[in-house]
Amino acid sequence: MELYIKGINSISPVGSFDNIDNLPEVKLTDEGLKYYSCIEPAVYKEIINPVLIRRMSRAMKIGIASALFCLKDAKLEMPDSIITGTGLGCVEDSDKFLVSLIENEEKMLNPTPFIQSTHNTISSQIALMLKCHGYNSTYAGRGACFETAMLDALMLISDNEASNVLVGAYDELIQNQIKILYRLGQFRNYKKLNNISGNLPGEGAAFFVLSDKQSETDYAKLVGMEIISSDNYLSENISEFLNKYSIESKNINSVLLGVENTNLENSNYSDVINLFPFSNLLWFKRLCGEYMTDSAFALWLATNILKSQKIPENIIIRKNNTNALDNILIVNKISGNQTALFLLKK
Amino acid sequence: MSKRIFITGTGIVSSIGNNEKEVLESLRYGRSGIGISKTLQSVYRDEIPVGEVSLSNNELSELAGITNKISNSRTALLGIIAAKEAVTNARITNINEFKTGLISSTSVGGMDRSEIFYKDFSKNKLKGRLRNIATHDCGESTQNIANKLNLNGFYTTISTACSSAANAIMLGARLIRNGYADRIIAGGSDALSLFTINGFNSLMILDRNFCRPFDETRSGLNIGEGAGYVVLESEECLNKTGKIALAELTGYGNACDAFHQTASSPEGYGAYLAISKAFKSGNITPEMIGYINVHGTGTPNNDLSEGMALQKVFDGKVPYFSSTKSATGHTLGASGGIEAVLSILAIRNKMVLPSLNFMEQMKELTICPVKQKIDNVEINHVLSNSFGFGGNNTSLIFSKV
Repeated sequence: MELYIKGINSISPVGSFDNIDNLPEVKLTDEGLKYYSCIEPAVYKEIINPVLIRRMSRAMKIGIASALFCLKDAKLEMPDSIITGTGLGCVEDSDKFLVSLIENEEKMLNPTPFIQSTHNTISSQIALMLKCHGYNSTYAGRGACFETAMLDALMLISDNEASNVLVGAYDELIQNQIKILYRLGQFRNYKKLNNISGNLPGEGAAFFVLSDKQSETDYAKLVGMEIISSDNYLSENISEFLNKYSIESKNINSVLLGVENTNLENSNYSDVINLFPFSNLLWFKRLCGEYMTDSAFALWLATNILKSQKIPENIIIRKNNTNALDNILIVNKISGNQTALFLLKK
Repeated sequence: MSKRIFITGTGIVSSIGNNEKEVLESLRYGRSGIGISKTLQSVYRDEIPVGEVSLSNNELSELAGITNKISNSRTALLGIIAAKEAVTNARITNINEFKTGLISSTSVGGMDRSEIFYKDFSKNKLKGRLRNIATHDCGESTQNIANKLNLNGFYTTISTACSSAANAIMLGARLIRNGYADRIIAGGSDALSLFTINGFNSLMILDRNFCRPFDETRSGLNIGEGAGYVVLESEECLNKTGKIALAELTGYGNACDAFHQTASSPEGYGAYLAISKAFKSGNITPEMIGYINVHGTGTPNNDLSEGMALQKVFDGKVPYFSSTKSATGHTLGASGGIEAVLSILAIRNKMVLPSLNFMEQMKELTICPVKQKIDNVEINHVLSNSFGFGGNNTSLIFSKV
């Protein structure tokens, strides 16, 4: 079943799509570890009740604001369902509660960070603000969490359980986590500031309103999606996916890849790339860094490209055609050895 | 007519037994698993009773058939044991024979190990063994279980607090109905942790005694740990293998209370919606339900809210109901999986399960739980409720085949 993307929003290190030509600033921790962080809205109180903002963590602010901006963009007051995906959830609150229980030897703890640390905090807070009693769920951790949220939305709509679904993802990055990620070797701290690396810890929130009803103002059409759970036969799986939607690889205008840098030969996407000699090859991690739900940023970017009919220069790795920009395939290897595929059409 | 979803295997580990047989035995004799913890080292050890699985991490590793004992969170170990039991009971020899997936849920994932890591890390950012933080995210235990089951197919993780595993089972059924899978192993796992004990303690909803669900004097819950999984199969899959199903999943409903981040609405609107949706999805009417395995945490708020919803849905004619959390403790992200297994055991053994420690009728309600097990009851349909923080409410209906 095809879904129409009616509204979108993202809070990310690159900011809005209008700002897309300006690469995000690489930030440094006290120890000199590099990372990306979100350009946050100047005033949250325009979108979130100021009384509530005070107690919110950054993850809650970016997640909830992005969701509410997205609804506004779609001109939708009440979605039928709310579904979110998050890698580490409200990690600042988890970290805070963990540190405080250790430091205070389990005595006199403030419950607020505990309450806000549950992974479904944001989906339920959005429901609470909207008084939305519909289907509500949250997927978490490594592997396909944002992708399952999308699949869930797709099933709700195709089963006629919902007609407009708010679906999104959020992940915040905190200082302790950056230190741990570098120690785990997930990122390497090169002394020289490498201007084109996307292999830095990142963060962001992105939300979408999906619907079965087509309209003039839609951003794009989600033709199909798939989560491949094995690294073996990846290119065969992609070919099969394209077959299912009756499109040949040579007719894919652009492929948006989850590569870490523009050096494709050394990437673990080389098999995939060989499938698309005629397609433009694009990447997105230089704009948002890497995090467990970065597929949501990729989807936001691809959706904007189709709507605006403009591919930002700084995400082009290889320009192989100047055909009409009518479709984009996203191929993103996600943590936990899964690969996400999204096929979008104008 | 929607495709039928059959349950062909169940697996469980909890404070009342390390496998399904032991758990059934405990249920028969009304045994409780609540007591002083041996593994979890909290300062509240002697003060706050918990439903702890009786085995150490080493013993769990052995039971799970794991040789590398150092790198698994307790959540993963419990999950591996219960998921393996479910797969074995379903007589699955080649897990990748059909399009098979795993939907696992957890609320804290590898928090037990993160706590060990943070003891050193919070003092010095260069300290703390990395293997203890590598299992922090909720998806790690799912991936670990998938690997131990040799599963090549789809896996994902749900985390909607205390309704997580019920949502996992619901998603599993929907994936099969939509043709994304033939078979799904669905459920949840959660280990005890200082994080949750202290979290619920700071909210002042932990009972210092045995919890008393639906009792006038109830004053909180007992946290438990464990894992429960079911194997869901499509009718085609069942026909091909010639297996006999244990039960059928006939209804499911998910709704949001949208009332408060941690409290349920006094009239139980979200619970009412979730139960009503489950009835509607399965074409089931309230009078068909023979037994309700309630969420019944034992907190003043939940039991009142859930009780009001039941009285409304069943129009005063509420069938037998009990909270098995009085025996297992509240196993958080695993509870929907554990209680799915217990609901199916009730159907198969024609037994209404007891709610322990109930003494005094709640003033606001006209209903009370079943105090002692009732044998030889033909139960055709069981309603199982799971309600979580954030008002994430899910109800499932299991039926006799």
